[in-house]
Amino acid sequence: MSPKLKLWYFNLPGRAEVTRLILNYGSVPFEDYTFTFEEWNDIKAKANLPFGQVPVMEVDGKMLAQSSAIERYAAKLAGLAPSDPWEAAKVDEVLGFVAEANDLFAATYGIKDADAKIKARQEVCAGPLKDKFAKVTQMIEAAGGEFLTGSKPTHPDFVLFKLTSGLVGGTMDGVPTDLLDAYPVIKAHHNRVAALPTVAKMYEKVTEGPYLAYKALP
Amino acid sequence: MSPNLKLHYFDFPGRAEATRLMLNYGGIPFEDATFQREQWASLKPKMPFGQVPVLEVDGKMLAQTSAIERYAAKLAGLAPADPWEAAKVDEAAAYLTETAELFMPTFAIQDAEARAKARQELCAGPLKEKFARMAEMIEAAGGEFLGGPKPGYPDFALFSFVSWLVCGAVDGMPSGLLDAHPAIKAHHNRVAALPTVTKMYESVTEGPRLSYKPLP
Repeated sequence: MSPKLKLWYFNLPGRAEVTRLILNYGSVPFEDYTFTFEEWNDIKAKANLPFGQVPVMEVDGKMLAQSSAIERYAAKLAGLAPSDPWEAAKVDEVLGFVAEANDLFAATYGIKDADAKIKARQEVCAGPLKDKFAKVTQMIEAAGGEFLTGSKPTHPDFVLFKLTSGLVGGTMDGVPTDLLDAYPVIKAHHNRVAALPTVAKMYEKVTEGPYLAYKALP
Repeated sequence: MSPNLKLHYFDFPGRAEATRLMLNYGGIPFEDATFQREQWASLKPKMPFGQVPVLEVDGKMLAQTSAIERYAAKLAGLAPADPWEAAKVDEAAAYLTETAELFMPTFAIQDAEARAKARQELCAGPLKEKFARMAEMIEAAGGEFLGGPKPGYPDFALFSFVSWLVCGAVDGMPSGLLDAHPAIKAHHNRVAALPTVTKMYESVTEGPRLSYKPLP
C-alpha cells in the first residue's frame, strides 16, 4: 500500500511540478499542500524542514527534502524506475543531461537590470540552449521519436516537459513564447506529454497565465 | 558476475574520484583508463556527450557523473533496496551536489584577487552553514557517517569534495578551513582510514591526492 504523501511547496510549478506530474501519471494519491510567499515565513518557522527549504515530501509523517530525491522517490512509487541497473543508469544519464538545461538559465535570475537580464537570456537561447536542444532532439529520435528513453514516458520526459513549458509560458523575459518553433521534435515532445491523459487532466481548467504553456502548444 | 568496466577520465581526481572510491570500496574490478590533457582532443569525439567521465560497461558507454556514480554505488552494494532509505541517500547526495556547486561560478572569475575574495565569502557564509548542517546529519546518524554506522555514497561524495577543496588546486581558499569544522575533518579522516581508501593513496607522497590521506 502506498505511503501517505503530502507535498509541501509554493502555489507555482517551480521545483515541485515534475513530482506532481510523475505522481499523477502513476495514479499515486498525494496531498498537494501549496502556499503563498506571504505565508512562507510562518510555515518555515513552525515546520521542522530538514534544510529549511521546500519542496519537501512528507512520507507517513517523515520529511524528505531535495527536489531530485523527491522526484526519484515519486518515480519509484509511480512505477517509472527501471529495476535493471543498466537501464536505470541510462535513464539517469538522460535525466542528468536534460536537468543541466535548467542550470543554463540559473545565472540569469539574479541579474537586476532588466535589459541585461533579457540580453543574457537571449545569449543562452542562441548558444548553449541551442546546442542542448539539438542533442535532446537526437536523443528523442534515437529512442524512436516519441519519448526520451523509448516508447513510454519516464522521469526525464517530465523534466523536459516542465522545462519547455516554463520557458515559453511568458514569465521568462528574454525568452520568446515561440521558442520551440525552431525545435519541432522538442515541440512535438512537449505536446505529446501534454496530451497524456493524466497531464491533460492536471491543466484542463487552465484558461490563462503561465500554466497555459503546460497544455498543447499551437 | 560484475560487468567489464572501463572508466575514462583525466589523470586527476575531479569528477571520477567518487566513482573510483566506491568501486574500490565494493571490491569491484575496473580499468581506470586515465589520460593526460594533451590526449583529450583526440578522445573527445569518441565520448557520447563529448565529455568525461564516461564508464564503459561491457563495451557500452555511460555518461553523466551522477548516472555513473549511482551505477557504481549499486555495483558496490551501496544503494539501499528500500525506497525510503534510497530517498534519504539521494537527499544527502543532492545536498552535497548543491554544496559543491557553490564554487562552480568562482572558476569563471578571471581576476585572482576577486576569485579569492569570492571563495572566502563562500567559506565564511554558505559553506559554513552547509558544513554545520552536515555535522548535524553525521551526529544524528550516530557520529560516524552521514547515513548510519557504515559509509554510503554521500560519504564518498563528501570525502571527494572536502579533499578537493583543500588539495591546493582551488586557489584563494582560506587556510585551516577544516580546523573550523572539526566534525567534517573527522569524517574526512574516518573515510581516509577505510582500508580500501588507504590503499588507493598509499603510494602518494605529493600533489593534489595528498589531501585524500588523513589530514593532520
